[in-house]
Amino acid sequence: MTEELLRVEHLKKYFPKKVNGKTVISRIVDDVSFTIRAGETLGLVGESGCGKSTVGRTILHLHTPTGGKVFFKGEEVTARNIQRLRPSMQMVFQDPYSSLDPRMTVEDIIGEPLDVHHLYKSRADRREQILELMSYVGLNPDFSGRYPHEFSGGQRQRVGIARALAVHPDFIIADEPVSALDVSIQAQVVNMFEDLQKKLGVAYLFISHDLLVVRHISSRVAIMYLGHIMEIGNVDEVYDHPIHPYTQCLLSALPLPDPDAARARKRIELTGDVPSPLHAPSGCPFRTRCPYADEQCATACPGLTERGNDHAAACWKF
Amino acid sequence: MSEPVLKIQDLSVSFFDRAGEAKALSGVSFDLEKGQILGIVGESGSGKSVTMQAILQILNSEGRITGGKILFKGEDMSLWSPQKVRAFRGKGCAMIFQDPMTSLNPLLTIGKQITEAVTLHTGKRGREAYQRAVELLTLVGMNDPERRMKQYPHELSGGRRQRIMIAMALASEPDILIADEPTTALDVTVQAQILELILEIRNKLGMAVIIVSHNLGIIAEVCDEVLVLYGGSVCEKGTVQDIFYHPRHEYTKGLLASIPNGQSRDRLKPIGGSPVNVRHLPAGCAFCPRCEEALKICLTDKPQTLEVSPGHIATCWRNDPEYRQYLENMGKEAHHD
Ligand SMILES: Nc1ncnc2c1ncn2[C@@H]1O[C@H](COP(=O)(O)OP(=O)(O)OP(=O)(O)O)[C@@H](O)[C@H]1O
Ligand SMILES: Nc1ncnc2c1ncn2[C@@H]1O[C@H](COP(=O)(O)OP(=O)(O)OP(=O)(O)O)[C@@H](O)[C@H]1O
Ligand SMILES: [Mg+2]
Ligand SMILES: [Mg+2]
Repeated sequence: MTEELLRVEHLKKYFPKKVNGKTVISRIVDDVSFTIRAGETLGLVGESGCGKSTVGRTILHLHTPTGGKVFFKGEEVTARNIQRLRPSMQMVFQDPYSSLDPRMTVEDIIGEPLDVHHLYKSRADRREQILELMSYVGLNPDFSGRYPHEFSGGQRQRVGIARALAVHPDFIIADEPVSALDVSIQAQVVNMFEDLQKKLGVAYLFISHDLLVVRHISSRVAIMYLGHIMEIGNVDEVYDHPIHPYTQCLLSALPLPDPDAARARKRIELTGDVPSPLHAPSGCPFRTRCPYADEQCATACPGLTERGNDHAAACWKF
Repeated sequence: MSEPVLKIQDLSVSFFDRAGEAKALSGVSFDLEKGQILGIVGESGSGKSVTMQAILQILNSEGRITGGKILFKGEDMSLWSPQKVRAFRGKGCAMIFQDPMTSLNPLLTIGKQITEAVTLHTGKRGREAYQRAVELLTLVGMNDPERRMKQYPHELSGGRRQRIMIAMALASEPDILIADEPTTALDVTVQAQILELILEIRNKLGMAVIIVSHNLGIIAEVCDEVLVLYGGSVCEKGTVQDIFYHPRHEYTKGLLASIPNGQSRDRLKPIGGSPVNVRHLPAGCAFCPRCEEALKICLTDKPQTLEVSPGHIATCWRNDPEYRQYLENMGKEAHHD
């Protein structure tokens, strides 16, 4: 078995929020735990606002954790050592249009992390590294002097990834990296992520709400709802044998690009809305919408329990 | 078959500005039948929204219809008076957009906005208009409609707002409902509910629906017919089964191969290159520069639109009878060897 790269233990991120002049606590990430092994991809899925991006940002201390611990290669990540660890842990953002500085050339955008971490011996060395990174991610090195607006969405996403790779990370958090792209371009970028993993052994936390893309790219997947992980495990196990009623519902709603299969399958309808994190229900966060919920579900939060075959779920009923 | 509600014939639209001419649509034709759900797919810039704008005659000042016709129930819309066009927007054809927040007035209650729509399109007033508004909210599956009437848009979730938009579009009992990326901003579970709702009202009211989306999953879920656009031209049109199981245009095949199918984990097959620029369309097939199966003729001549099986049309040289004959002969020769 390959070594464990990242361990997240009971991670919490609460934000204070003013409501009618009073400060209340919004529990955006509440007790999230998982591990990622070197060179593997963990997909993180869940609906808008459930806290996926906040998990990513809190791991990297872009938000100070409210509670819990993160270990990277066995070392606890803290406010003190994060600067030193950051080159090994990079983040790629969703929007290829706003995440790049429009006034900088692509060469300087990719070179910036090299400057920050003093990772070259000479100007020539810097340039050589940048051109190599560009060809790594499938960008024509001749375009190094161009500005972001001269590139398409898919190309800009590649620039963002080249920039993340510049510091030789072992781990990349990719937050919705293909959501803004057309399907034909999405495939190019997904393939590039896979190729880079094969070549460089980087591990990914791949955040997305596209369940098909996540199944394709991930070896393991975590399903998130209202700040909690409801189910986690081997991607085929979770997709083919979902345990948690929320996972079952989510998978049954996924639009299938296969007309006959789409029409034949049965949807599980969800009633009601996602509760606000300010008024999170007691016990299981999903119980207000769960068709199987009873008193037990209201009294205590079911933690993730191992169900065999690298598959765990947080549910009292199943 | 009865006359289609909407007939688009050889429609071309260009935008003219300082940079020159952008040929957003080049000779697009298709029919929309009563009660049918037509999906329009194609990547960003392929002309999906411009097609809808041309139908509703809401192209901006730089945009112009440069050729072709749009027939609504057999009538040439270009001959209509401005009043008739205005009545068409709403009564003939209503539209819902991707982001309901931009089309709802944040300062007015839901009730006020729906009753206004009812009054505008049906002339009903007061109590009667209110009753109809409540009916519409019930129709789009809003629980507790009387309470909803008093709420403001920001008090509702994205999915509920989209339901309100649909209710308002239905106020006029339109013949055609156009939904441009109606669920892109929504989560999958909510998206599924909205698609279900669109199916349900089509079945109940029998209107024709056009759904614009670049999500092939959504198209496969709900559409009867599918139109594939690329660079302002029709690549292919057919039943949803034709398009997903027997595609006859290389662009359609490429699109289908580039999405994960939820089963195999084989490497995705992206379409190489980047989308065509409609300011510099090539002489031959618009897709030719990205097509792996291109023939010599694709570079120089526009392919004809051919019916490849009943009701299934495609615009690709590889379907040309002469070329297919040639392939067959090649096959025979191979057997002789
Ligand atoms: N800095 C912050 N201060 C206060 N609240 C925040 C902050 N960052 C995020 N939130 C809140 O946390 C919740 C979860 O946000 P987050 O961005 O993590 O969700 P997400 O799962 O990534 O959603 P999406 O799929 O829409 O990107 C949201 O309700 C958001 O308003
Ligand atoms: N006002 C305009 N001026 C100039 N060109 C325009 C204008 N509106 C649209 N176009 C051009 O017309 C073409 C078709 O645009 P359209 O908006 O129909 O694309 P679309 O298929 O709806 O794409 P998307 O998926 O991004 O919504 C594009 O190349 C676009 O650049
Ligand atoms: Mg996010
Ligand atoms: Mg559009």
